[in-house]
Amino acid sequence: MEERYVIVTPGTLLATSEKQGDGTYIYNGKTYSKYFGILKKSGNKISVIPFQQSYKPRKGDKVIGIIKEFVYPFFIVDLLSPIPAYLYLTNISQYPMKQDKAIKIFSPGTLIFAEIIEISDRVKLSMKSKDSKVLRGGRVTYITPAKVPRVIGRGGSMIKMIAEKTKCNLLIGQNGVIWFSCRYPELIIKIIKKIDEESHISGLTDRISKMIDEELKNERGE
Amino acid sequence: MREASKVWTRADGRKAEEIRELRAELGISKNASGSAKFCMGNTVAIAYVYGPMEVIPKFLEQSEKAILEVNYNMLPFSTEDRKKPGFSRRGAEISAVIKRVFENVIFLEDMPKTKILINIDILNADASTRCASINAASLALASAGIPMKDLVASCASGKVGNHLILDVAGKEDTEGDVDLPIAYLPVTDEILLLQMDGIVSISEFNKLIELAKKGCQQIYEFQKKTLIEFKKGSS
Repeated sequence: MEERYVIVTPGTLLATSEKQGDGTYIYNGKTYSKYFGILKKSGNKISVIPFQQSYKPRKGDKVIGIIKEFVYPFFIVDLLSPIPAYLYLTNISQYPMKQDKAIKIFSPGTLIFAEIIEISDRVKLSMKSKDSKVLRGGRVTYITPAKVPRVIGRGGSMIKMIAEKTKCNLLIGQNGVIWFSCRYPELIIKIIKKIDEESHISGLTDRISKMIDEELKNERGE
Repeated sequence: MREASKVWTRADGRKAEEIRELRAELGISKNASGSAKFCMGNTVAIAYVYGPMEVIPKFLEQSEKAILEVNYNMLPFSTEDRKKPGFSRRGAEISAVIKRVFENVIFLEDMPKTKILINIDILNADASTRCASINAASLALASAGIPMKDLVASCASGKVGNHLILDVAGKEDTEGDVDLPIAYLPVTDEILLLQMDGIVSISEFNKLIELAKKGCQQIYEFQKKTLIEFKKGSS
């Protein structure tokens, strides 16, 4: 049961009929893979989750970005996506805020946790929702956006387990940016790297749990 | 003594329809989104893929699809006589043909307003450098997570004397009669690149195409195997 996932390359024949799903395409009535990734079958759907992919903004995603610069009337935000996002002055808070104050708070290099509200000609962000915030202190690490669900786990199991064991404050953006503040920053980076590399092998949560226990023992010098 | 055995062998000891030894390595650069090294005998090509990324300058941006940039570069020490570094007409031509190959393979409309950059370096040239470049770039694109129809395999066939040969190498390229490189997309059974120098009859030309396709199939299987083994080896 160790290798439950099937690795596919672009152009691999997945079905001899037309099937729906992400990461696939249809040619001559047959379904083929678009990516180098893991095959996932659920019901009548066939999907391929790529091992590596840049972030594609979607409406409603909660993301972590870095403020690049202010160009009236918006802040340009880097989401590690090919296209930059824009945070308009009208969207920075539930309450009206003066431009001078906003520029002081959202200085270049500031990390923000915001929601994507519009994808038309531009990707627009909003800080109006309750959980949106400016992130002070802490560190960031990165994971492939396609693997964000693996970090969160089924029903949040993985993220809860990591936060409880390491007593860390973790925040995950859908764009693959993970912000954290805790006593063992190197350990968190190690965990995320392990998830990124081994996400296609089953029993990941157990292995991560074991790894954290061992690493924490070493940290405490036991 | 080769004549005595009645089986014609080539200068490097291969049979007429045998390709050179293939070697490939993935993930050779940490800075690139995807990278690969592909060796066909003594020909060594390295491909780096960057992106999808923001298009600069902005006027090159296309609102409905991504743009592709390919830079093919032969390093000065790659040939027997030192090659003058910098721009060359040959390099520009090969960059353009490789770009046309991948424009037909990548789903560019999936990534509007972006750019994909492919840089190819030839470390050692021993004929078929454009084939090795396409094979390396194909692997690098797949490992970078770029949506593609299929992996592209490329191989050359040729004619030396009265013999039709597969995977032209060394002196067969410079002293042979015909050199015919193709790039082949197995899923649609399409030929995406076809160049030829020399003179052949139509029947010989058809045979050469079939021969090159056979070589491409072998390379395609090797590419698939490399990708899967890379992922299994890293975990």
